[in-house]
Amino acid sequence: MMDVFLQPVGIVHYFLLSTLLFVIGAMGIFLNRRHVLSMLMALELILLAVNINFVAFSVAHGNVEGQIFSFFILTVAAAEAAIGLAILVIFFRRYQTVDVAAMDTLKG
Amino acid sequence: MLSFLPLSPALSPVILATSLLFFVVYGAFRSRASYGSVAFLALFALLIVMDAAGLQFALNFGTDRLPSLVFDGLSSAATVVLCGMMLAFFVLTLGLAWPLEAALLVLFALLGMLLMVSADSLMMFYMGLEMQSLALYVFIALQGRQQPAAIEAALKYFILGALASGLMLLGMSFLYGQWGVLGYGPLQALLVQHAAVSPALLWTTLGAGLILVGFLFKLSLVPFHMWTPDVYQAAPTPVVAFLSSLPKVAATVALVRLLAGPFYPLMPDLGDMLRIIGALSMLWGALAGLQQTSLRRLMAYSTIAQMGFVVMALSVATPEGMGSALVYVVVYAVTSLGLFALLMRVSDNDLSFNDVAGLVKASPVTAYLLAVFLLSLAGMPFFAGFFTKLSVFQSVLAGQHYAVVFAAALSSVVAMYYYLRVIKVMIFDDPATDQGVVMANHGASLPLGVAAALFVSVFFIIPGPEMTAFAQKMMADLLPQATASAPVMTLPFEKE
Repeated sequence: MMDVFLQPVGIVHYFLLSTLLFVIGAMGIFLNRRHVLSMLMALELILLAVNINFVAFSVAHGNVEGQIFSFFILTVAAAEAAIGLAILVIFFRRYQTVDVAAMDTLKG
Repeated sequence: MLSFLPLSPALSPVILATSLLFFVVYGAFRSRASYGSVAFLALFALLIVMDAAGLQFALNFGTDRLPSLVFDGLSSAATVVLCGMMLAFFVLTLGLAWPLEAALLVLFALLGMLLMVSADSLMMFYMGLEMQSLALYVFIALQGRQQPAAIEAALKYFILGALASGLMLLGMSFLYGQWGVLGYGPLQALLVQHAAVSPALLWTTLGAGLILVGFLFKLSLVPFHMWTPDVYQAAPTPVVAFLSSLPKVAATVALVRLLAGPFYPLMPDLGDMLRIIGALSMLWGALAGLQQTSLRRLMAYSTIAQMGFVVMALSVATPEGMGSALVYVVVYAVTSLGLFALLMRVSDNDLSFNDVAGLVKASPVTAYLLAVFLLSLAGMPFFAGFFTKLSVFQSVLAGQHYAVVFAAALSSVVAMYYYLRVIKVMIFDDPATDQGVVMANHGASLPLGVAAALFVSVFFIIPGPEMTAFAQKMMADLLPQATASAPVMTLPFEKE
């Protein structure tokens, strides 16, 4: 088990890193119940973690499809960040807060 | 091969994209451009797109493949249906004082959907899906000017949607990591080859399951349904009409493409997963709807239950099952477009049961047409909903999945209660206030409602049998040829 840390850096290490980042990102959404802004950061982390996967697999397979996909994901991540922040700005304007707890007018 | 004849296979999305760019420039340089003017121009563009797809369809061009896009019967049929619904939506909202951007955003969403239904690789599918979702997040948030709650709904929808697409992307990276391809065709070939010699691989099944998560979110299925009631309640009625029809059709077609293509060899596992999710959605949609007091929240739970039927039919992976799922979702989309179009005549805002009490006194036509839609959703005989439910049941029973059919029957019975309750409140109750229900006048909503009600009522004579036969034949062509001896899949607890 531990010898994965003694090997030269390879596909397994990239996969571990991206899994770690993905889990941090997912926890940032599920466990973080305070700040919407940090949720948006966690979302970015998720997308970028997957990007590491794609690039690492692409190198391992020796074809570029994964790297092309990773560029598209970067673009989508940028658009998503812009849209998320824009929605958050109008949310703040309306409720004067970015607390997750403020998102409770809709339920039933 | 890509032909450069006037009817190039990619014509419909290309025409839509070109006219969209024109509208963007038009909106930027013409300061007095309004929502109505762009929507009006878009009507013509949509007619041309429909024409292109319909011609391709009528002339039977067969299957055309571009890199990562495929144009066949399914994608042209889906394009015609989606553009038709978009036309109805624009006709419905032509007179509204929406900002110009709203028209551009729904058109971008439509372009994303057209790419989704003809995607032939995971990359193109993901881009189409994101194009659709990102446009819809903004479209909902834009309504915050009139209805502040829509901002909150948009934010919730955005966070959950982005998380779901992140999970989906992780699934795609697993598949890519294991097989090194993104195209549906090569992936299917590799998986079929592999399935012939050894059982499914963990990472592949996991990856496919994670991709399904994205679909669960888009189709608002349990456990990824949480956004649906909030968005349905908070967004204005025409927005809900859009959200409950077009994206559902597009997501179902894209799901069919995946399940009939690369995921077909994984169907024993995925089929079980889809059946469990379908059963949960049908039951939860029926039970949670019982205690709703908001009409649009109620419709959200109804959507959840109806989408459960769709995945139940998809899970059997036979031409009959998938064909009936496609017909089911199209009929559902038309019903819900008509229903929300008529609700616009009552109010653009959320409605409680009291707000529609005694609707029949203010406008008998509206009340009875709404009753037609509700009865069809409930699955009353001789309305469209009955026949689509029937063919779904038949195809699932043919696969001998009795447990999930039992859940579906139970769900129909329970849901019948809340549909009938709305009808009772509208037609038999007295108005809550002295002046009764005040009607708003939206020019096109009544004609659209009448047209949709007509479709729902005569479905079993005129388009129904042809649609079902056509969809099932199309799926028979699309599914791998070994379908005749499809493996019988059962839930663990169904095994004797």
